[in-house]
Amino acid sequence: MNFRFELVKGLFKPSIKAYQLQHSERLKGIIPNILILVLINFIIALLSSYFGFGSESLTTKIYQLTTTEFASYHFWLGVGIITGSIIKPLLFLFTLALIFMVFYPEIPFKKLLALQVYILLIGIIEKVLLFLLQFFIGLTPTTSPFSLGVIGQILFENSFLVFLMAAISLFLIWKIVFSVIIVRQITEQTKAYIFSSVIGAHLFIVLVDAAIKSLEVYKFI
Amino acid sequence: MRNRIFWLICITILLFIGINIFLLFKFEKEVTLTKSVSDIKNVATSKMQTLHKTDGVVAPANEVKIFNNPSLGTLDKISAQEGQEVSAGEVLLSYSNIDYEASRTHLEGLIDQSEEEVELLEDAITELRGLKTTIETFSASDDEMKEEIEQTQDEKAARVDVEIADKNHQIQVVETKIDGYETQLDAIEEHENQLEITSPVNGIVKEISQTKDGPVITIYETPFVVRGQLKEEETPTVLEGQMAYFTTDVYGAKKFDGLVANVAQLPADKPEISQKSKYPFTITFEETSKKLQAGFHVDIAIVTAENENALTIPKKAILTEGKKKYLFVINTDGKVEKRKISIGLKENAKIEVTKGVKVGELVITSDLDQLSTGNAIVKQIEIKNLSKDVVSKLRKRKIARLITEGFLQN
Repeated sequence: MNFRFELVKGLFKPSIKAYQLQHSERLKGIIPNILILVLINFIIALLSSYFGFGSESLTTKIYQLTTTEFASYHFWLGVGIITGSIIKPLLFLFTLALIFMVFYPEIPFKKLLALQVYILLIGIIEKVLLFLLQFFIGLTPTTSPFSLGVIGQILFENSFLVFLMAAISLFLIWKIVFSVIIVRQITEQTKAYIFSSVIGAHLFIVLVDAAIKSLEVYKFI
Repeated sequence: MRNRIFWLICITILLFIGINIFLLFKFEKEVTLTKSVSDIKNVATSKMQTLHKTDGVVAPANEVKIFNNPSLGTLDKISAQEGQEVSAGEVLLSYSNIDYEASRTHLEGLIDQSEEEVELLEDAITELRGLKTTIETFSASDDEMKEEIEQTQDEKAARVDVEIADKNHQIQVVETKIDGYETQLDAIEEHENQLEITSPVNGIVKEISQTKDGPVITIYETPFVVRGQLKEEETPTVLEGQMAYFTTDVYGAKKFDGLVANVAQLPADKPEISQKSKYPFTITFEETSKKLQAGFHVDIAIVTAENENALTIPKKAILTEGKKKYLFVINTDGKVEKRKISIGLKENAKIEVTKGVKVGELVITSDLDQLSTGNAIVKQIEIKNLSKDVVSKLRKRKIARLITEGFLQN
């Protein structure tokens, strides 16, 4: 049978999709779906940089820069955000699929990729909600009510720990649960194996992401 | 079973979110919210003026009426015309007085007469002198009678001298009389000079009207002034000596400079409870290239307060809470601070800040009700500030840094 992506339906009825995924040979429309998600990400990023979200560090330089300098710094920052909005989802998509491939060599890569498309969708939903929160209330990803970021900010000073706590969100749990459901259907592995591999994979991504952010790698350029 | 799990999950999620929100409120200080603003302006210094706007009319400084004075005599001539410009001291009405004329003629006659008398006396003296010479040069031919004759001649000469002296004395008397007449003549001429009525001021003759008592000349004194009225509540702020500007429809946008010369202490009309009191004021102005005629209506702006180096901010930067006013200042760490300020002069969209900020500090001029102290501020991109050269002129390294920073964000 053919696997049809039906993103929204699949998101809320993972077991059905899991079954379909298990038994289908062809996956229809993977690329258009990926493109739509990347497009949504792109638009959110465009809006974000228009409003200046993420440019807090730039505001600290506001007294040192002229108006035109400030505007051009803002511009290039925006270029970075927008490029990131296209490349990063694809990066995560493929990286996670590759990691899963390590743990589940028996599952065809295409199917693992298909799983990641849904995971990406969950990520996009999170992004949209965070954008709206920031727009209306001023909450940033680190102060999102959906994650442990608030608690992290209160408890810790260390930026790595704060980023880490902020990454542990309801949406991450959703991603993990979804992945587990899908993988469980397709593979023969034990529950423990599935849980630990899925959680491990996502945690790995989260750790690397938090590390890069807290190190402020761009300062080394 | 599944239903229960579903609800359990929902409640857990809501609980989680609820706890977070609670924590956000409780730990406001530790948690930094970010606000996006579109407009930031800096505190500048400029000259501020508070202008009191009112209207007025160009009018004469004074209206002077010149009346006919019949006691001076008969009106000889009116030397002025309606519309004519006159200067102070210029003759307007001249009179002739018959009495004076008669006296003068009489005196002139007396003087002429007396001068003739003097002439006659002087002629007589000349004759007597001639006689004396004849007497003195007479020599007797007969030697016997010589002494007798010489004595007689001396007596004759002496008598002539006496007559000459007498005549001189008479001349003196007449000359004294002449002096007297001339003094009287001067007095009369002085009175005749007062037989003129001159203009007491510089001005323009507005009207010459004929009444039963003779002509009445109305003069508008120049230079003209601008007259206006202040309401009661305006009197403490508008003071003599303040600068003022005015424009008139006749000359469009051209601004004329003036000075508040006088603000009346007393109202124009008798004070009444039922009506508002109005206090007249005048503004003087220098001679202008464009003629401002009496009657022109003008729009006036009086500078009631001024500060050369006032700290100014746009009006929309101020948040008013009850009686207190606040500004949102961006600190060097990129966060906003809500600061209490005191304000001073107001002018259109600018307001002077007398306390609370320094020159060059940046204040937020939009979405003020969303902000509170401690918020991190981000600025919306202003497309108009982007210029092609500046964007590309940034060092490659800087550009790479910025792109990476943006890339690595959420």
